[in-house]
Amino acid sequence: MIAAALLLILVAVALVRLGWGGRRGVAGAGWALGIAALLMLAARDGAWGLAIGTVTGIAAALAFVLHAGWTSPAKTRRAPREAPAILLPRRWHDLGRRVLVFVLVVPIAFCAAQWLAFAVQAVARRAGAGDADTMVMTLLLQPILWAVLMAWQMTRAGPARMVAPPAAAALLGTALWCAA
Amino acid sequence: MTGTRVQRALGGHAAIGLLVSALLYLIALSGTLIVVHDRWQRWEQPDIVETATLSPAAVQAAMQAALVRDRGKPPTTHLYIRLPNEDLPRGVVTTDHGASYVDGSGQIVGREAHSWTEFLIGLHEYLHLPATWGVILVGALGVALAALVVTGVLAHPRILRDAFRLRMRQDPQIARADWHNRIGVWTLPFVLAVALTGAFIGLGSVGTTMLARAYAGGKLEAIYAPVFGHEPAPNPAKAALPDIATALAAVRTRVPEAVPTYVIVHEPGTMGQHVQVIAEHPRRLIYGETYAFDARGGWRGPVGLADGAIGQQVAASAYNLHFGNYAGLPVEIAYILFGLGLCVVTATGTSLWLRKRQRRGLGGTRLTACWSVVIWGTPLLIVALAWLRALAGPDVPLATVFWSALAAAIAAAAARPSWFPDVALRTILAAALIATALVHLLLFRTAPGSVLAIDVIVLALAIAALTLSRRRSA
Repeated sequence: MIAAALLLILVAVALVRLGWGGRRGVAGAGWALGIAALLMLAARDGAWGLAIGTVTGIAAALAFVLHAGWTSPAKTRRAPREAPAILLPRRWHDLGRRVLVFVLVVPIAFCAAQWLAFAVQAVARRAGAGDADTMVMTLLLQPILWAVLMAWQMTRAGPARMVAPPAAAALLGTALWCAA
Repeated sequence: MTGTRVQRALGGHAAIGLLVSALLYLIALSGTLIVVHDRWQRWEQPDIVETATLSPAAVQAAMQAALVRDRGKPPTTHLYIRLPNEDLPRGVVTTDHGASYVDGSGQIVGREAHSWTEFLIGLHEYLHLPATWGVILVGALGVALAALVVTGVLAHPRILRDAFRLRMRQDPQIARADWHNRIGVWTLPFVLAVALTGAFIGLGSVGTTMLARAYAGGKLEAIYAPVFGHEPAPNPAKAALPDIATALAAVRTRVPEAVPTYVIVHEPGTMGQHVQVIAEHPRRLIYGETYAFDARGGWRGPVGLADGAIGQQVAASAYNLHFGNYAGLPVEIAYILFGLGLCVVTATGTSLWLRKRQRRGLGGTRLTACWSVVIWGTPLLIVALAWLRALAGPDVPLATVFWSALAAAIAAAAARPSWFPDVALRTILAAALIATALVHLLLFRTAPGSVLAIDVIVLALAIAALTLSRRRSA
């Protein structure tokens, strides 16, 4: 059963590769087959099955990518001279701006995520969730929320707009805490 | 930072990457190596007597042998006995005063002195900083890695169109970008899993401290207890040693499918002593279930990591999902390859940015040399430390040597960039790996095949890398 599901995942990745850049239906069938195989593994072996299925899928996809690299034609095309996405600070003003961004994205967003995670667990606790579940929920939610806040902040145009994500998280946390 | 959403995402991705890339690379590289840390431990100490199993009587004898070894020292608070398995077919007994290998009858046969392997584990888990702060920093770096994944996807509008495009024989900058994007995209589930489980483990102390202050008067044990079990109150009055053999026999009778991996004796030789047996459950992501016993080996029951609250099962699964030790060698090899992929993604990310600067005439020769030292100098230093450990013994302060040498090399690269060309560093690394594997192979040629297999694999990989590098530059 496990071997069959893992084989299906290999076939699924092969179909995705076959349909890539061409017949989209084939690639779609590959994705559908892959998801079905993962569901089979999850139904039979839970998180363990899902994990080994995912590892198999990643390994198969990387094998196709490496094969594509190995067989790619050698060309002398020059890469375009793109500007670097960010520049090093050269003036005190630039440096101050970077420090402000760091403060907003690291300690402030960390605290906002921690507070929101804590408030969510308080709501769950109020709703009857057990100590083990609420404790682990807090520990799992914090890094996820912080990563989301960090990504959200770092795609804003300027430090002023980076205030909103942690502020929203802190407000939501406070509202949930009050509701709990 | 204005512009389109993609430009802003790329700017954010680059900013986070530049802030954390060097530390992230060290953590990724050391994490890749320690997926098989038990095998490195065998490789580091290949001449220790091995045993496939330890009988319950041998485990009992191992406990007694360790306490005899510690005679004259303050009583140990905990005693751990690691049972042999396929990765490390050796019994290890550990107290507050040190760890020793034991043979099949439970007698001590040598000191556990795998300081090089422990150096790698320390580098990955806490960057050799004071433990609590180091673990928190590494957890925060896990969050940064997860944010890099999110911003990387947002900055990559052609994620599907380029899914299988790897132009590795074109302009180096195009090849670098393709390596970065393709490996990054396809290892995304793995990277997210290790980043978030790493952050869960690393930042856990902050969350539990907050919960302890809110609900348990600051007592951390009260917060951990619903997940990992309660600790009975200690009673320092003297007592006979506990009956571990009976406890192990009970696990085998009551849970025959479980494979015991650890025995933990709390407060051995006191009235408050109790025993825990941690046992793996096949085809489960959890690291094991903890079975509790009283001092006479009387069954108290499981903590619930295998079938208790969902929170318990999730917590117990985070560790194996992070370290890749849940389905034997095939998954461990896959984790090593994906980990190497993460190293490539981290290395190429900063290299792309440095090259863009150089091509725009913004300089960066010194920064490029420093980055080369981080990328190629770090593994070279790790190899050098293996030699230092072998020649000077296990008590050399490897972490101090590593960080001092790395800082000195980076400073030297900043001062004299021409001394640190990329190609030379790569060649020296490959040569060092070949020399190390060959010497180890020759010195320990009578060691078990699985120990020597590491030498053969390192040798093959280094020769292949050297050959490919020469072919590319020809």
